[in-house]
Amino acid sequence: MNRSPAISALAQTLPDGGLILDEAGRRPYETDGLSAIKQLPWAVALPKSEEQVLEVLRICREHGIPIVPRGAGTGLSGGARPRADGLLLSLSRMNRIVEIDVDNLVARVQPGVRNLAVSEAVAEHGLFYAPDPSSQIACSIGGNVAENAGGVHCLKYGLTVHNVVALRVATIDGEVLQLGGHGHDAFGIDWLALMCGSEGMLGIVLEATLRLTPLPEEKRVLMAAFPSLAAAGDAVAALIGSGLIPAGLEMMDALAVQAAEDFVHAGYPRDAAALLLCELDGTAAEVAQTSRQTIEVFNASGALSVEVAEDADAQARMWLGRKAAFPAVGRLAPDYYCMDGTIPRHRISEVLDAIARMSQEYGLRVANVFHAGDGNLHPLILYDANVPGELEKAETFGGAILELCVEVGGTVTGEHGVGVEKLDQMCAQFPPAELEQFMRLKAAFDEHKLLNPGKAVPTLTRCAEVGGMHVHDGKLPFPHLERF
Amino acid sequence: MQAWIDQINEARAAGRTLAIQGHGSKVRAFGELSADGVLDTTGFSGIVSYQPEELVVTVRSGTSLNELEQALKENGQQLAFEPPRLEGRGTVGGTVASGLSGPARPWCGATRDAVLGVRLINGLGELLTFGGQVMKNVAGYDVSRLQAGALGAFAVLCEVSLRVMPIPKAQVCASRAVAEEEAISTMRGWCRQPLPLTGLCYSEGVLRWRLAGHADAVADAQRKLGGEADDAGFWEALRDWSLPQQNFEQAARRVCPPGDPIETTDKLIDWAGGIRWTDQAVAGAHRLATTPALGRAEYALAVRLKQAFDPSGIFNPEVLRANEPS
Ligand SMILES: Cc1cc2nc3c(=O)[nH]c(=O)nc-3n(C[C@H](O)[C@H](O)[C@H](O)COP(=O)(O)OP(=O)(O)OC[C@H]3O[C@@H](n4cnc5c(N)ncnc54)[C@H](O)[C@@H]3O)c2cc1C
Repeated sequence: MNRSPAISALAQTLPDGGLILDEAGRRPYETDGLSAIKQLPWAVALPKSEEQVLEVLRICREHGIPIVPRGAGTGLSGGARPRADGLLLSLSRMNRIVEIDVDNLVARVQPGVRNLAVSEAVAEHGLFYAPDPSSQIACSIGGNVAENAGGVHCLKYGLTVHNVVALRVATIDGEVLQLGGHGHDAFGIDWLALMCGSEGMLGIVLEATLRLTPLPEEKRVLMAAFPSLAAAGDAVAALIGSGLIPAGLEMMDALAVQAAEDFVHAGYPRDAAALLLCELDGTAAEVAQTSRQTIEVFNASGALSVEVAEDADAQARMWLGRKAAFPAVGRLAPDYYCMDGTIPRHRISEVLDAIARMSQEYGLRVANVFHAGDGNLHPLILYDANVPGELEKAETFGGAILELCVEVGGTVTGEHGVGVEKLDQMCAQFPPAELEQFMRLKAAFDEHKLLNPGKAVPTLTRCAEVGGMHVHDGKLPFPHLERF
Repeated sequence: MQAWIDQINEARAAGRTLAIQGHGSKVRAFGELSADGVLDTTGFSGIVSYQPEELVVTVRSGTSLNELEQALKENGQQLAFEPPRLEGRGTVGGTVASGLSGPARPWCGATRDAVLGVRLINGLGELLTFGGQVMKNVAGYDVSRLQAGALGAFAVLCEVSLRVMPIPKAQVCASRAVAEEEAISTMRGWCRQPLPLTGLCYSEGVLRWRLAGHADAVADAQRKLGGEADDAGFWEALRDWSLPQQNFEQAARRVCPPGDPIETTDKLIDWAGGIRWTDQAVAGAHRLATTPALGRAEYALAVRLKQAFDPSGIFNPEVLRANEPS
């Protein structure tokens, strides 16, 4: 197709380096946080205003050019993976905090604002923005909305979907939707729930109004070492079952603990088979009471030791190892592959056992660092991409872990999204009728499939091919589809 | 469920519409839904699974709210979003579909926040499962939460998985006289502090609050706030819409930014300012029997969204029509 009319229209709309066509300029956008997959985009647009976004959408609509939205590119599932025939629409230049409304406890921000910048801007009012993905120094609010990002403190304070009160969204048809308001619960259809986690496939987030939370009066961090993964898993189930909701509850296995210790010397017990980090917050009296209760539960579950960090420095040190866990594990092997399944909490120890067995079968090491409080696993599979076949092996192993998560009643992705990475596992989680419902929903927003096509929802043809590899009970899945 | 699927398929073949109805507890609130036939959900009831230590319950949609709450209470748990019980006969399906949350909403979340997964039947007569029983799940679009507040415009809910929460160990209710000029600023000031609030309401010169959580924390906060101790009766009545200001014949509700000034028509202010019960249908407020009109673009999209689930327009045809821009 001759794209020169589209290029000149885009160039006119996006002056001052807002349109990148040369290869060197496009190169930084060829991948997101899932760096194993690379693809140069056809062109990159960097709009500075809502008007420019709408104009770009119009041009792409008229010329039938697919659009891949991108925030900070930290996504771990390839959601912002470019297309050779598509425009990469980066929202990073729209990075203004538009309004801080202390009275109503909300902040209105543009999509390119970094997650941490919101909490930093409202700290002087004794407030913070609760969802705190580990990538919060870099990732954008638009990307957070698109992935329904979570973080360490989401156990108590909720995910992105629980903390967004309004969105301005541009549709591919060029409409600007005003969804939600400054207050709670605009009556009627829950548009916000639909937009959160929609992976840039329903609309472009132009502005988000975020709920702010008062900073807790006091915090305390506990660190408990356990002799086995099973004991730590049981402690998690027992703690949540006792009715206590910590601000955060994270688990690391032996390999992760040792890697973190070698990397940042956080003072973790090297002999622990599993480590739990638990943050409790609230009023001073509340924290005193809940830490007593937590220590009791940990001891009853067979903890080898429980350490308490009361002052900010000691707490920061305790969190340091957890925060640095991914890069620390990254030092153990040339490459690692991060998985993201969620399972019911009482199945944690059983699933970790199974992962350890699979790790031996595949001959690839796995480190586990994860949001235990909500059952959100992050097995990190270690491999070496330079060894022929290892990447494929790691991918097959990862896929098997996710299918296990589905089998025990969980899901293939808790917070990183499906992107391009988990399309095959979506076939394991959803039968064709559900997938077709997703496709009709998508078509209600984007009939011509121009927004981030090919992500999040697999085609039935793809599932038929994948299904061919997993024949359950001798029954061929998707019997009504053609096979190739 | 097969009976519902048959009924839906027959309706589609005959070009007829169906009103989805539970115990009819909300008819008084939303008005009668007129359609060619009624799909009665009350026969499909019971708790499918309940794992207190996972904080999740899965229930059939025709289960009465009373039955569910009783089962939770026996395990020291509750629905944190405090849906109005309306004579206690409301069904869980109706509760989720109407998306109504009680006084604790600003602190403990809304109905939709508690929805983790659903099984539903769409207008094609397909039984579909979305979401699940885990807290975090971003596989596919969030079709489960979309059903909360949709008033059955998209599908018939069959089963719902809800997040449940422990009943707080301690609770204190109290009140104090506060002049109207200071009511909003007092409420907003308290919300900016880390207090264990689960209710903050103003009406006729009296500010009422409720604190809940750990015993020491509640006692500490109460010492700070002062006032006179109350029993929980007011909060129960407020939750169940049985206060005089919540009279269906005259009252309307208005959701607004919580810091907005008090209008003379605002007779009862809940959610720390975020929701106002007015004594007449003023601008921006709506009678319980209607939902607010949508903007033009939002309405067009809502219609397409309905078509994506219910292409023949079988379910509750009046629901979306009421949102049509004027
Ligand atoms: C070291 C590391 C740690 C991480 N830790 C966490 C964690 O703890 N929790 C967690 O949830 N995630 C985590 N992530 C994943 C990632 O940071 C999040 O998914 C984040 O929300 C992505 O934001 P982004 O701005 O980088 O989005 P991108 O990667 O640029 O894009 C992500 C998706 O959003 C879409 N998108 C972006 N902007 C818009 C917009 N304005 N409108 C519409 N669609 C848009 C894109 O098309 C894409 O589908 C981590 C990643 C890394 C690298």
